[in-house]
Amino acid sequence: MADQEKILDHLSEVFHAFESGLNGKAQSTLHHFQKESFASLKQYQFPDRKHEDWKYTIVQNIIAPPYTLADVNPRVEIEDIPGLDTYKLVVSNGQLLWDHIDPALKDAGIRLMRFDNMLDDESMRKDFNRVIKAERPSSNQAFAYLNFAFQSGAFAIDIPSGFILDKPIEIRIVHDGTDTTFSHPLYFIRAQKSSEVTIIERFEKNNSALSADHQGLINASAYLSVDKNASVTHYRWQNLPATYRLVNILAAQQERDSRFTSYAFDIGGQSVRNNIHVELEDSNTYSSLQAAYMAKNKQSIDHQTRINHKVPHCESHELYKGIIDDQASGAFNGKVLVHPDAQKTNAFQQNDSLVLSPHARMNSKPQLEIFADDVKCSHGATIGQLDQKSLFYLMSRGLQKEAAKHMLTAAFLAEVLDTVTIEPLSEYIRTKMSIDV
Amino acid sequence: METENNNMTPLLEIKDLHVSVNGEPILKGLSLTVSKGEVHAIMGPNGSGKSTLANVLAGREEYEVDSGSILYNGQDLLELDVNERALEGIFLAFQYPVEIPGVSNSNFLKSIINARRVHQGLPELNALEMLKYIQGKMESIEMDKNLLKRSLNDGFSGGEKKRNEILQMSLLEPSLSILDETDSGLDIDALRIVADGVNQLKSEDRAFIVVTHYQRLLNHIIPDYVHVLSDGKIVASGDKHLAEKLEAEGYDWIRETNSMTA
Amino acid sequence: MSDSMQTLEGHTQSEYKYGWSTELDMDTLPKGLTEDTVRAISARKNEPEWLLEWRLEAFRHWQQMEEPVWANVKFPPINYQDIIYFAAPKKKLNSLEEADPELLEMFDKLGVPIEERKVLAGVAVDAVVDSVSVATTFKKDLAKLGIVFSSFSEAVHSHPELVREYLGSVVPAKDNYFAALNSAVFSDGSFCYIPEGVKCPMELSTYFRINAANTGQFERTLIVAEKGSTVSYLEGCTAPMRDENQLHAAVVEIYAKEDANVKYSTVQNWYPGDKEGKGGIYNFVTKRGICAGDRSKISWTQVETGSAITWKYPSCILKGDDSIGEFYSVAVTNNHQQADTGTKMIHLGKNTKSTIISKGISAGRSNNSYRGLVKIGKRADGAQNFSQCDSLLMGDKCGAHTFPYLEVDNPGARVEHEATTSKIGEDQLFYCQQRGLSEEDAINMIVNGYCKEVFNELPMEFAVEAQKLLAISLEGSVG
Repeated sequence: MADQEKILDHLSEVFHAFESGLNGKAQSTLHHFQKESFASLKQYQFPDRKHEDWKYTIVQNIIAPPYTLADVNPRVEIEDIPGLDTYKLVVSNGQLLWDHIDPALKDAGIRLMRFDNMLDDESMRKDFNRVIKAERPSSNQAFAYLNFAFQSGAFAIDIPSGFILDKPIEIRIVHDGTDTTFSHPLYFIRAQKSSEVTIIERFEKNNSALSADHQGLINASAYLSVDKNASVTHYRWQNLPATYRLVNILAAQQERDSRFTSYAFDIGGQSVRNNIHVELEDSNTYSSLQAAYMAKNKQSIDHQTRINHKVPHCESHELYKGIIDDQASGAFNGKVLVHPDAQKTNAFQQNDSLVLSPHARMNSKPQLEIFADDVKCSHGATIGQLDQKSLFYLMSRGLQKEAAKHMLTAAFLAEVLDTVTIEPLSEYIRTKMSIDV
Repeated sequence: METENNNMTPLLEIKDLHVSVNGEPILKGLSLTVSKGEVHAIMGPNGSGKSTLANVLAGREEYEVDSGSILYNGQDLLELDVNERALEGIFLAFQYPVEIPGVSNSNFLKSIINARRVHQGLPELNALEMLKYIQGKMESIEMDKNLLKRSLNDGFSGGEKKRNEILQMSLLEPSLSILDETDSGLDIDALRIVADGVNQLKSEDRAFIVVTHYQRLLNHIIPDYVHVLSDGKIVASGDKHLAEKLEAEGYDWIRETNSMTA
Repeated sequence: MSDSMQTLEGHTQSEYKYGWSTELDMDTLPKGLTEDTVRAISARKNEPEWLLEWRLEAFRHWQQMEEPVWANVKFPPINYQDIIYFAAPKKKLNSLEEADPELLEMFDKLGVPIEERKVLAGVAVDAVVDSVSVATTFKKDLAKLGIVFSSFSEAVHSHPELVREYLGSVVPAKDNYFAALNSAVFSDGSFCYIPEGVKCPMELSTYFRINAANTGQFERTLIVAEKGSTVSYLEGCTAPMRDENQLHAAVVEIYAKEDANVKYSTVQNWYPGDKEGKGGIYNFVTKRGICAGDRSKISWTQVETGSAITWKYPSCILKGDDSIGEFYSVAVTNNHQQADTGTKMIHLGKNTKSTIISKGISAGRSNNSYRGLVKIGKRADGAQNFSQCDSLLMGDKCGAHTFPYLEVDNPGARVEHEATTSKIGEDQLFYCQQRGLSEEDAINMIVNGYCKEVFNELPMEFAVEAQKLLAISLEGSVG
């Protein structure tokens, strides 16, 4: 494909410029990793629209603009979530800002390390490789390699065995600049045996941004290793400016008796593609993936989920609820694979969508592939409009049409938000999604 | 191993037990004595026979006892059927509690409580007494009362299932409770509730066998004895410090020590 | 196979307890079916000319039809000339006091109350033996409210205009092979008419008994519910154990007008044949209701434990806007029984709703199929259907099959289908026993739990009966 070649040629140029700026770090483990990753990107290339997983988000639209690497803007201003006490980290244009790190984190009992140091730490690197390997045979791998190739400011967090972190870690991710740029945030979190941690990831607008209508792509990846009996809860709140594209990969690998919960909330961005992948390595795990999203104007929000049940006695839940308005489009493509050995699997998958305008589009494809015979699995999808009878009822009680619509859409998303146990976070999201009934 | 010498018959006496599943030997000469009032923790790597021990005590049929003996209150346990053992006060908290759709949790609890009472020569509880009894216990383990109306374990989360096991244990007040990895997969709050359930039930008349992978549980349920099961035998016994050592160092040193002495 | 599974199998090897027959003095037509047979039946009932013509038309049409063949049901060809089409106890009754003591004893043995003083409060019974209705209770009380509840042949004479208007209006005489046969030779059945606005104060019940040998039973039930009326109708049945297969080809029609509410419950316990599959009833039944008026509702509940072969699909035509159709079914098959049952929900009106809950239980070497059609017509805006079809297997020589057909011609409709297949697992049994329950109690608890959603729909007394019946069908000792 000619376009693809053009894009890769351009990326090669950007990559060489990036390499020449590495200054003396050219022989490092990190550089080796970057070079290998770029080679892999060229080998695998970007998926085209014929690929089942990329039917509803046009890869070309995301990757075609001639992006250059964004410089770090050290001035980052993001509003705090009222009443929420967290350990804060700031990632600007892909780089962790070390001088913005919450000082309390030093004494919190966990290890925070630079990505290049992590690559030199044998035990961490081994676990990191294990998790990314599981993610690689997917249609997203080109984006994963792109992220790795341009890696410079990534970080890793290690939660020691038995450690229960007292507050959530809040990772604030921003992107800005003046030209058309991309950035590649990346982090790896290892939760060791019987540890418990909560991550709140925020993709936000930088209030000190250099330009108001800056075009850009954030190609973010996060990898989680959830060891035996550990608990990881991951919240993602995304309210990027409407000029940004976002490709996001979240991959978790779960060991025996572990728990992983993921929430994704999207209201911002122009073209948003979320990929989540959970790999179940051993039995008696619990996984829960939930999402609430609102797409307006010409936004596109595309969720891809994959849960790989390879072993018996694991339980997974998926609940994705979206509201699509105006000329926006939404997609859900959920895959649950139940391998022949994964007996006694409990897997439930549901995608519900409210389509509010005749020009809005939603495509839903909940998929179960079951190769074991003693399992309990269900999947379902509903795509509907606001219930006219309910709307009429509310209006007959004196509510304005808009207010009545609002109340009903809020009720629709509440099913997801009601399960968020961090009260200030839940309040904040409700306010931002204007579903504070 | 030693137990306190108190002139009374031990609650449970397992001697040189050999058990196989589908012809494959799993337990290879296991001996264990449990007296009333004691808490025994059984740890060990995967496949060492921990769950087999729990299931043999409860009377699961696929587990073939090839030789050895199990005395319970001085009586041959192997002669008793599954439900007779239960009525005699043996309770197994299942590693994977079974879901039974359509059978309401409350109905199930009533049936098992009254079955036990009839066996003990006590009158059955009427509906009101039953409700009071069950709800009281539910409160003490912070269990959502709505779970009574739902089908038995059907659609319960992992944590809810484990809590339901603890509820049944509290209601039946068994003499010997066997917890088969009840703590696995629980977060710290749920773990505390399980431990509280056990600690509330602890008494001079009752004993517990706690099978676990994680030392963490034993911070909350303090064991009198910790045994390490490896390759179908108890290869080491000690107090709670043994569990801490296992958590820190893994099982390899036990295997090595074992092969050196063998 | 482990011990517990063996016991489980043992539990499923029980005897049919209604298998005896009674010596009654009978009036029977000779075997065989010709136009003369049809005329003879009609003559014996002293029927008006229009009804004879209706029968003959059905008969002539039936002769042109081919017997249906079903993929999952297998049986040797039926010799329609080897069946007795009319058999009736000889004594004509004017009141129960005149009844043959043998007959009374028979119903006593069946546990069916046909003497009014013994009757369970709140149930009126129409008892049908072989081809005719022998007793209808509480007729006078019901008549005061304008409710007609009588044998079909009586209604033909007492309310000919009603019978003529509605007979065949839901299941036309030519609807299908067995409906046509029934239309030609039906001998009796129940007729029920609920006038406008009347809420029937008691359960109406028909009890069917096949007693005579070599006899087919062809009864016809017609229920008409006027605007705003409500009625709950029960149907039960048994037959003696005989080596030959006997044919039961019934038709049930329900006509519900605006805001009418009809609930029809069946506990079907025809003789299922012996363990080797010898004998038993062929139960080929057409049951259909039409929700003709807006906001009307028809609910079918069935517990099917008997018959060698069951072929029936109680259906609802949802013509009125906002009308509701429901189907709740438990079908148990054991030994060599075959059941192919389900429902059809035809959505024609706007905002029509239907619910289908089907629970199949297969044991022994039996086969149990759910076959259901949900059809949403072009004009059925806002139509909704929910279907849930569960199958429970006991042992590993039986089969369960689910064939849902969805035909949706309206994009605004919502159709949901769920299906599960599970085994009564050793895990479930062990769990219950570990808590101190006996094996028998454990099996009872698990099976009844599985059927609960359907039993909840049955009237109270019937639900208890159904639970017992299930226990008898699947276990040895409970009774």
